[in-house]
Amino acid sequence: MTVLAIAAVVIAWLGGAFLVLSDARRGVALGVALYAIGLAATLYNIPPAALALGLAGLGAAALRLRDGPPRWGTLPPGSTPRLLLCVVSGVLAAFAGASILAGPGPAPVRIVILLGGAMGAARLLSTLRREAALASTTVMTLALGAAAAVAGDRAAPTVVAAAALAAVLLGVLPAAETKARGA
Amino acid sequence: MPPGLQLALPALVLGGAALVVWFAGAGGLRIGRPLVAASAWLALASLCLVWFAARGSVELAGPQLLPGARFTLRLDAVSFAFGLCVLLPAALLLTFQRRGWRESGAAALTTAAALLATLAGGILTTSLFWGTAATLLLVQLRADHERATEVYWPALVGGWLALVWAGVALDITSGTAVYTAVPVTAMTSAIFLLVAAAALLGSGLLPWRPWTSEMWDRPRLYVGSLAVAVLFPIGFYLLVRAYAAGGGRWPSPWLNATLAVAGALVALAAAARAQAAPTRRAFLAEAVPGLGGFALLAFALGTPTGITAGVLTVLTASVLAALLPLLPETGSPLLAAILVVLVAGAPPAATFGARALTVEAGIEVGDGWAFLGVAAALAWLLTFAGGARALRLPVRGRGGEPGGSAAGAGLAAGILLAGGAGLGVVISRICVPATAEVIGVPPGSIGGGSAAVLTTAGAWAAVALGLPLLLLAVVPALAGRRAPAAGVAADSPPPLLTAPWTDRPARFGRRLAALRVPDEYRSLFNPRAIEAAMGRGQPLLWALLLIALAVAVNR
Amino acid sequence: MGPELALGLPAAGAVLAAVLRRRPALALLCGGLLGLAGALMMALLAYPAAQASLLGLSLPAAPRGLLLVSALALGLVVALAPPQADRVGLLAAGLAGLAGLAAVAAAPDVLAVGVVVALLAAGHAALPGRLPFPTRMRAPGLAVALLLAGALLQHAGDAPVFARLSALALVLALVAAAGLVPFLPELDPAEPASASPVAWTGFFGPALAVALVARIQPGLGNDGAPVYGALLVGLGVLNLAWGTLGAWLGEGDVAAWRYSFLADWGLALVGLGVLVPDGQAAAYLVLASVLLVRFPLYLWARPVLLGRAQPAMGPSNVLLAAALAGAAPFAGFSVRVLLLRAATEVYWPLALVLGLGMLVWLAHSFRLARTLGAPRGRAAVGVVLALGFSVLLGVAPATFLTLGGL
Repeated sequence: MTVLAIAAVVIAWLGGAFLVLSDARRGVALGVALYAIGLAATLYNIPPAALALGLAGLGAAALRLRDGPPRWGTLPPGSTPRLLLCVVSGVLAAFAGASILAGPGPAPVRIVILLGGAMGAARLLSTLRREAALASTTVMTLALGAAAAVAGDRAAPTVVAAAALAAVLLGVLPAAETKARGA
Repeated sequence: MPPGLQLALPALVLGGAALVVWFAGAGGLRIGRPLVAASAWLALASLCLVWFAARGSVELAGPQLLPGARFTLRLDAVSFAFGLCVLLPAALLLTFQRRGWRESGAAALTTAAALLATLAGGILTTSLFWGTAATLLLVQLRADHERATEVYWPALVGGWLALVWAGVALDITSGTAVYTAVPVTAMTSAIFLLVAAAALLGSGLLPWRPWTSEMWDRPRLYVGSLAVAVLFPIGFYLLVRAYAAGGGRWPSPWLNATLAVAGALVALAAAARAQAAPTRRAFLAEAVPGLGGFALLAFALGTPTGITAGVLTVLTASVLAALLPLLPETGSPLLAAILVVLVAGAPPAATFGARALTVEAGIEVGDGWAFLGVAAALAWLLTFAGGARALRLPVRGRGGEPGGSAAGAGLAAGILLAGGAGLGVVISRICVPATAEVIGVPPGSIGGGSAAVLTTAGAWAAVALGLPLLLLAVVPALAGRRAPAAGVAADSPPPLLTAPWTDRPARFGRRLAALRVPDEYRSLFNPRAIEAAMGRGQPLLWALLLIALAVAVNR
Repeated sequence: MGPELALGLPAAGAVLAAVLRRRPALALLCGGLLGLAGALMMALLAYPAAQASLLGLSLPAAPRGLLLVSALALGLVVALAPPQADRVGLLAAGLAGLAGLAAVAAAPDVLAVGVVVALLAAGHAALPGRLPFPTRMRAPGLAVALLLAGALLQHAGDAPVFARLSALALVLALVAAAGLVPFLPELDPAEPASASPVAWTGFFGPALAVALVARIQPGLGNDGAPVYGALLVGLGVLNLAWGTLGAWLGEGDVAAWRYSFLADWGLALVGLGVLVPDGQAAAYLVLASVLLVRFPLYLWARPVLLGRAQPAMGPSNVLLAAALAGAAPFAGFSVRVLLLRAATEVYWPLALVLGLGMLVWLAHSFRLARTLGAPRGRAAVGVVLALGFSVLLGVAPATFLTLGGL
């Protein structure tokens, strides 16, 4: 792997880590943004996909800055298990993506996709914060788009576009819960 | 007109009547009972007309409902006999029982469904109509009163599921589930066991108190009696068709033996319950199950005489199923005595002829089968003892509402007596042709004259046996007519045999319901805790689950 | 343009209905017409699978059929909703869901399905409800992750282990998306029906399952097929047992209804897992009956479930109990015939297990039927229609099966 690729993977991992470890809007938004940048960098040989997913991720991150708890909220008390999760996810994703899986696409992309899926799912399953859940789903959606891009099927451009659009729409959803009315 | 469409005529008449009754009733015109009664007799007449005009089997092939389930109707001697078993009691009940217009329409539709089950040409079509009839009856039963469907519904659904499974298994094995097209080797013991389970559950042929007796626990008898009348014959229909599918025999002799023993047990158990009954209604409730045991024994013998006796017994039981709820529930001892005699089976009633022919068929086969014939005779004697006791029992229990129709009971009793007197005709015109449809009938093995039954052992006539008995009964009746009548005893007379086992199923059910996981293991079997864990969706839990499954699928 | 229109028209209808919320009659009219147009497009103009549209979208027959059934169910539910229900909200949410389902059905591969499910799940979880968004997002979110994993493993290499793990991931994704055991989402009995996880199990799940299966099966291969089948059958039996026992013995009638959906899904999963045509047909019919019978009945039972009406046990309730118990001549007849047939073809003890489950099924049907109360007005019409559909599914299933290309 080239230095650029390694850097992209590390940036994506950092993004995932911020997503997992942050409880406020800035931390979550940074997580999404870093992940999107890292993902786009690994897709450099598929420029349209890199552009679409990268811009969509950045747009979703910007939208996440609108609402939610203020400031960073990174590494709040009791976040040691989450830190461990980030480390373990990084190691496992790197191992699986580089050594076990033979496709799709080059190893850096696979690793970043695995990071997005694993860390996004882990955050979604463990959080009670709406903005974190939305951001996690955004990250997983971007990972889906990237997987479609490297799988190279006939409908890949459609799937990538759909993933990008979905990521932005997920960013549009507000972070405030709405009360139930009627049955 | 598509060939064979006339087969659908009886059912269409009943179905059409149901629709007219409902529409008319919704419009304020209350013509339910007379119209439905007329349609039932018309359906019976049209069935007879179609059969006697056809002079052979008729088929109607319809669309494919599902794989293996083509809608086919077939009228041959077997379906004609069992069609009579459904329509005759239904016509009597629909004529003489009081029903509202809604109930009349539902009853007509139910009868149509049950008739179609006996006319169906394949197992799956039978199961469709049988299930439909059971469903319609459930609605009527629950609409009338919530009681006494706890045994009915599970038994019918269990039997229906067994039949469906048998049908699909047969279709997979042989490529068809049509009774007359199934290859002989396709009806294996396993498939037959499913058919037998369906028959036993559906017709209430169980040694413990079946759903057919449970129907008599209801305050009003008009729905439960219809259920017994239309559903009871269908189980036997399946057993007879199993003979046809097996080329004249069931897949294995041990199946015959098992079902024969079961039949004898059912008859004995019903007789034992009858003689320990607390009320006259409870005694009458065991009459049809008792005859059912005789019929099962007869069919299981596997001989022409046995199958003929079986068909005759089912026919008789059907008429009895109509007679019993129509009995006026008065305290008149003479009337009670006559009716109990008809139920217990004294000549010249058909109830005597059916039982006698069954016992004779058992003894005729010889060996161990003769013992089963003797067991059936014992059950018969026990029924007489129960009948004598029943004369001194209160008519009905607490909550039971009076019902009955003297005219209807008279007609039904007349049919039973006429059937007994003309037993030979019934056997030669209905029972033997049905038997010949499924098994070879050697000349001279079984037949009927005008009144006499012709068997290898000789000829006998219920009338001939009945007249001396009648005289024997009339003389003391005349002599004792000035004596005060023996009325209902203040305390019910004790039964000949106490039946400590009758509450076993209920006790077993209560014990089962009271089972609890011991406290120290309860946390292992706490579904709520497991669900809460699932709902919380902790990543570690699901990761472990995924890893475990990943290892499992790669072993 | 067929699939695109089939997707776009309901979506436009959802948007219009939401925008025109303050004028309910107009909202219902516009939303209804666009929804109807979308359904017509699904029926008439969908491409055959071999010819995808310019965007690579195509609507295979089986998902298209269930999509139409979903549209019919939505129309039934909105037109005949109980008086207190928010019909405009139901229509808007339903049309949005239908658009999502159309997108799922038209999705060219598993990854695309994942993207649509993510959006659909987020949109559904964002509806006003009593449970927080993350809680409602968990099960479908896990489904998205599993779809990603499954798709990655499909392209991971030729080793058999990848095929098996891919099949595992995709089957679990299907189960998680439908909200079944072992991914049972939390249920608040007072949650509005449109925001409840029962909406996934009863409305989104059927078409989603069939669409997913249509995308999964071609890529299974010899190594993945046994895992796929065995998992579906195993999870099916688990859900059947959990559902029947839970509906019978569980506390609370809302929970009982949810368990009854699990029981139906158990049969559907077994049907999908036995990998014979009869099983597929049985699964299709079960899912159609969930859409046209069980889910609408659940919605009409809501007034009683929420304590606003009294339970009852009249003749119509008994008929409903029989229909919900799967008795003849209702939908249960054809399902049981086909499923027992499929199970007997593959492995007869499975048929015995299914038969026992079907027998235990009886225990809860009266409990559910009681919660329909004494239907009046629109609810009575709805009950009659639901029973009619059930009879059609039971005695004339060929129509529905032809619709699904089976």
